[in-house]
Amino acid sequence: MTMQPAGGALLSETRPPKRSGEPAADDRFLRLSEREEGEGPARLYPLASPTWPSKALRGLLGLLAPARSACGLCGRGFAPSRTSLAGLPEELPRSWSDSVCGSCRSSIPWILRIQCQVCGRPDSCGDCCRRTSAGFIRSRSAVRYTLEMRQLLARYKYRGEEALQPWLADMLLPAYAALAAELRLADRLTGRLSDRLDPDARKGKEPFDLVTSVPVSRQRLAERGFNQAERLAASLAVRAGLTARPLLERKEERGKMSAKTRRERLIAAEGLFEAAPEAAGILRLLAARDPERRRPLRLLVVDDIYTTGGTMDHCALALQRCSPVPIDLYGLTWARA
Amino acid sequence: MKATLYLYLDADKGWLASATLDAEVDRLWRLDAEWAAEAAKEAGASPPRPAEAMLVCGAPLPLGAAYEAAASWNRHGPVPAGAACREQLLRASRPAAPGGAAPLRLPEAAEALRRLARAALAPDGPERPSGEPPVTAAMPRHGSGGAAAALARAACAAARALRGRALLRGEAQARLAAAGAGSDAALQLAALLGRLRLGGAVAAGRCQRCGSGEAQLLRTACGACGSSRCASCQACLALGRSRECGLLVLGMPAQAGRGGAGLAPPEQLPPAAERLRRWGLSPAQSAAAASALAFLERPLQPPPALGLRPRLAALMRAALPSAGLLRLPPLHRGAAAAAGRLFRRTRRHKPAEPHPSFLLWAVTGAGKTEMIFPLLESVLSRGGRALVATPRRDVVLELEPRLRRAFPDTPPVTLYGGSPQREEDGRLTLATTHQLLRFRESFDLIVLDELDAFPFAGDAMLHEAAARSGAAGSRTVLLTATPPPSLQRLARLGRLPHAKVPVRYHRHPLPVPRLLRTPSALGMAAAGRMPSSLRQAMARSLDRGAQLFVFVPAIRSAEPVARLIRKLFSDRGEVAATHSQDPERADKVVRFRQKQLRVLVTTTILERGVTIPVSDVFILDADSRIFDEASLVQSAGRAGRSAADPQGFVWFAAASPSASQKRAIRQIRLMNRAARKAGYLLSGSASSRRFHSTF
Repeated sequence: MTMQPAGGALLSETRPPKRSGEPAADDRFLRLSEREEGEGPARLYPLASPTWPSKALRGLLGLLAPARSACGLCGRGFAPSRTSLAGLPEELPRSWSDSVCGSCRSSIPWILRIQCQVCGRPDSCGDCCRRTSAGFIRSRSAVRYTLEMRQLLARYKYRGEEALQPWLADMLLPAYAALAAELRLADRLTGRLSDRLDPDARKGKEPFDLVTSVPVSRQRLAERGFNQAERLAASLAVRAGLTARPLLERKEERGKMSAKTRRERLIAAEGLFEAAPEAAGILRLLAARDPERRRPLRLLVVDDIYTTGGTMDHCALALQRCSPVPIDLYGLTWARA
Repeated sequence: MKATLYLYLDADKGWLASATLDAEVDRLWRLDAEWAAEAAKEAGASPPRPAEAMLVCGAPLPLGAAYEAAASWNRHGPVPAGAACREQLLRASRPAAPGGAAPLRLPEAAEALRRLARAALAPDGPERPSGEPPVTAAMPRHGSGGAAAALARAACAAARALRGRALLRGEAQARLAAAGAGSDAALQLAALLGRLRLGGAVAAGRCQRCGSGEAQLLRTACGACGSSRCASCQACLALGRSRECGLLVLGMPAQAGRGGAGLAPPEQLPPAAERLRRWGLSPAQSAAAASALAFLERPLQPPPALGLRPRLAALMRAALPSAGLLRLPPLHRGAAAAAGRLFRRTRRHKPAEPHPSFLLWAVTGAGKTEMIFPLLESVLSRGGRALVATPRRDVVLELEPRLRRAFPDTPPVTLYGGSPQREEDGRLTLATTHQLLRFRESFDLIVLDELDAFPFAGDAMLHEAAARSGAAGSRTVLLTATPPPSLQRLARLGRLPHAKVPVRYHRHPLPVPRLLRTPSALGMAAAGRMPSSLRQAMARSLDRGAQLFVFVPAIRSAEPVARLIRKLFSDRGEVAATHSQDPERADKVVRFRQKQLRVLVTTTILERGVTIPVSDVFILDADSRIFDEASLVQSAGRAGRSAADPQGFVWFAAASPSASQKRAIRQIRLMNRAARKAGYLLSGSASSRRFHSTF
């Protein structure tokens, strides 16, 4: 056992002694923010600083190593040049595959083949047969809602890791592209002859006129700070060259949907959504912009999860009710439960 | 969240700005002298001087912007007519309004407030939000005195409950709900009384809770405050979102002793030797605890000049045994001091001054926890507040019952993610280092256990949180078996008071690791066999009835190695593999403890905190970069921990003897040598079974 005498340097009093009497708090709060630029953070003990030979050596080695970046989803470092692109949907932008590491990529259960043409479920579907009235025509989803995806979405939605948002929004693109391709094909088959021959039409104007999103209640918005569906819709619109506008309002909060059974959800969703006051005007303007159009207006409703389809259905019905012009509604969600 | 911005006219200082959660409380406090006097009397404070007039901005602003605008007004005076946005507002470094000039008249002040609010609302550029913010003059209303006392009581209760804390609005409300003081009005009155500080959780480009700078801030459109660039901190998300429009409540520093008298002087306590006896420590433990106790109870010295000379002197003191005689002549002293100043100015980062710290460097299995008991006792019996913090939750859960047994009168409040004791308050706190973000100037003693473990070691945010949780004049005791090189160096230079405990509590030497040359773990697993040296070593350990820790550097080698061992020693009991991603990890560790598992293949997650009475350690791929010196020493420390079997075997199996392996062995040998020299080893064990490396 050795006991060194205190060198003294560490025994320094860091703060002025406590003032007695009337406490004054005003100068404490800004102490942090007024930290000078070069000054390091407070520490219990000094930071280890590498000595110069090892620093130089590390710098040299860094030149030889492949470029590394932090994964946008999990934050761990990885070398983008070393991971393969196999198995990824090809509509994903290059920036996405450059910033998501291999293990995160392999954990994503993409929906590449669907079974139910209505709701886009990758396995056989009982819900769509049970439904009596459907407000929307088709819905598609990007990924299956597995445990990993649930955790990923929870990090964004509940924990508020908004840095995840661009990467989640990119993941919508393959599903969107598939839906758009289906519609373009349908347009070509049913369109007028001149349309069918027109090369511009074949290459494809985007088949949707507007992107909108499932709303959250005012209270939830204040608490969370953002509406995940609206953010996804806005990002998708930018990437696909469309316009996004919120058209719906959620009347009140009746508990989180994720804590309910199928029946409870369907009941809870009844009358929950209402068109925003300006929605009818926006739709009328949109319809008037292109009088040549033969088909109804096409709207894409974006949400984060599709579970029973109740939310999507009621949003679609609310829009149908308010619309002064005929509209067709399609759905796109990030995950399919 | 939003806050209201207002101006009030002070008789001496002219117009001052302020932001509030509840404008009604401010109106009563500033204008209604009767109400203010009653509230102040109830709180035991002096009543404020009534304001002569008050102008309230009718449109609430994003909280951060409102507080920032008020601060800017009070520092720089009214916004010039040209400044249209917040950036300009902050950049304009105008001197405060000259004291002699007459204050603005009411309509001018109203226009100035409108301009201030407009500038705060449009942070990005000259574009203006539609509509003028309405400004109204608040009028005193008399005869509302009844509620003053009740609100003041709630405010005092809130201030008491939030002492030494730094909480977001939701956390503060949860904490105050029990006291019935969670309303914004109570918080606001407490702030007016000067017993709390309210502000944006992100302000001035920095997270006010965790101290992260601009690099960790993400600015997004915010549905809560309506700003298009509301910053939120991504570094401390794990403890709830800290954002620009979110409220951060800072309590006053926690006060030690009855009525805030401070720590009682140590002279009141019985002599240190007597107090130490009660804990039944071994000679090495009690010698180290005694010097830590002396450090703890020594009065603080005035800050020395941090120049070159004290460093040189410290270096010489460390180098020369007769250092007390060494003095530099005065001329040289002046030159050295000048050089020291120069040196300090040219350094790029000026580190914030460290807390007074003491390093307790105790080998694995030395009984660190028992050594901190006398330290905690010293602070607690003097009326202070003590904290035991550690990076790992498992360590917290393991320490909890031991602290509870040792201090039945002040049971520890145990804090970790999801802890049920979150709202409780006590003088002894046991927490993970993340929880320290919620404390500010709160503890008189901080014991930091396993400080070199993940995630604390490399996380500047947690270092800052720990440093700021200490009250004025607090002491820190750093506790580890493997101090990082920077700390070792400071200790060597004499700049960090420290004590070494080179021997385990059972007074046998540490098992010295032996080197084995083997192929890589995955290679052996793929080939389905081991070199005979490794196989024989394992067989010998199994024959003597030991349980085996087999450490591997990566998750992907854990299961293959387990399969290999299962195949080669099929009749010797169960083999399992675990790692950080393993859902059954806790269960497997329990089964290993209960001896249902014979061999546990694991990554470095089990290198600390697990004690198995009769166990041997095999580290495969010991030349991997994952296994640095500290990691190897910690892993080797799993062997020979019980008095019944004090000398387990430790094997480093690797393709080559790396520098870390050699350093780890050297460190263990040095500790054994120090123990022998100090006479701590039991007489019989000193020379028994000393191992030599095969290289």
